[in-house]
Amino acid sequence: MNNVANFVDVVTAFDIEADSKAEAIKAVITKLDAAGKLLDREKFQADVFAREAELPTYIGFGFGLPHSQSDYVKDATIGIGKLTHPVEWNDGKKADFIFLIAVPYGGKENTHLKILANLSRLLMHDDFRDKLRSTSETEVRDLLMASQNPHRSE
Amino acid sequence: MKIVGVTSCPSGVAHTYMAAEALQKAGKEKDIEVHIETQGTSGVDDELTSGQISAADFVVLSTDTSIRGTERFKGKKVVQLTTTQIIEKADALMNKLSKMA
Repeated sequence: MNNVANFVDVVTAFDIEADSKAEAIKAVITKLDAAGKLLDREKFQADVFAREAELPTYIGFGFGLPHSQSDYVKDATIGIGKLTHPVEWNDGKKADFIFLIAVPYGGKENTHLKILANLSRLLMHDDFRDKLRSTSETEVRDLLMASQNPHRSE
Repeated sequence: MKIVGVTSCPSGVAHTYMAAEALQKAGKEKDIEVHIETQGTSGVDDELTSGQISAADFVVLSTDTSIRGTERFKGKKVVQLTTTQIIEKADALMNKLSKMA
């Protein structure tokens, strides 16, 4: 498997103080935008919220996984957001950890999609989630970069 | 017991794979043979073989978007759930299917 860093970047936003899911997602998007990963912040945000409205992305374990394949993304990026306190995500379920996946459209190259697929699989494992939660903001990027091979059951 | 399944979701980037992994992980923990095909944005991975399908006691299909190739499961016992339900309740699903097998 290829090195994650060649295909997907990681941007972190820890200690987010938000009182709603929308505020929390916006805080992560602000960091993505500041890192130069988006072509149009407002339009990308609209795409993420549209996806969220279609099918909310709470995945259990206090994790929200908003994501969008969008025309307004420049480079495939994972935005990791950690909240100071949980916010309601959907159906009364609360999240305090955000894994925002931003993927551009186009191109035949789909390595980034394979990497995101593998990272999504990793989130199903409690040892990986525990590591994510206990890792500092400066180290979480390295953790993701290092953890490429999911524990595929086959 | 043997289970096969196909997962897919609207954006085909995350839930497809989380649901597949949840089923495989739950199966592994309970010593159930599980094969899951993913139909995502990057294409079909781990495509089910006719042998895997014919040997399966149950077929699990996600309902978020239409699954391609459902004719392969004609005559099989099919369980349909959203990827979110699969992600949250894979363990319970495996327990339930074990009792029904």
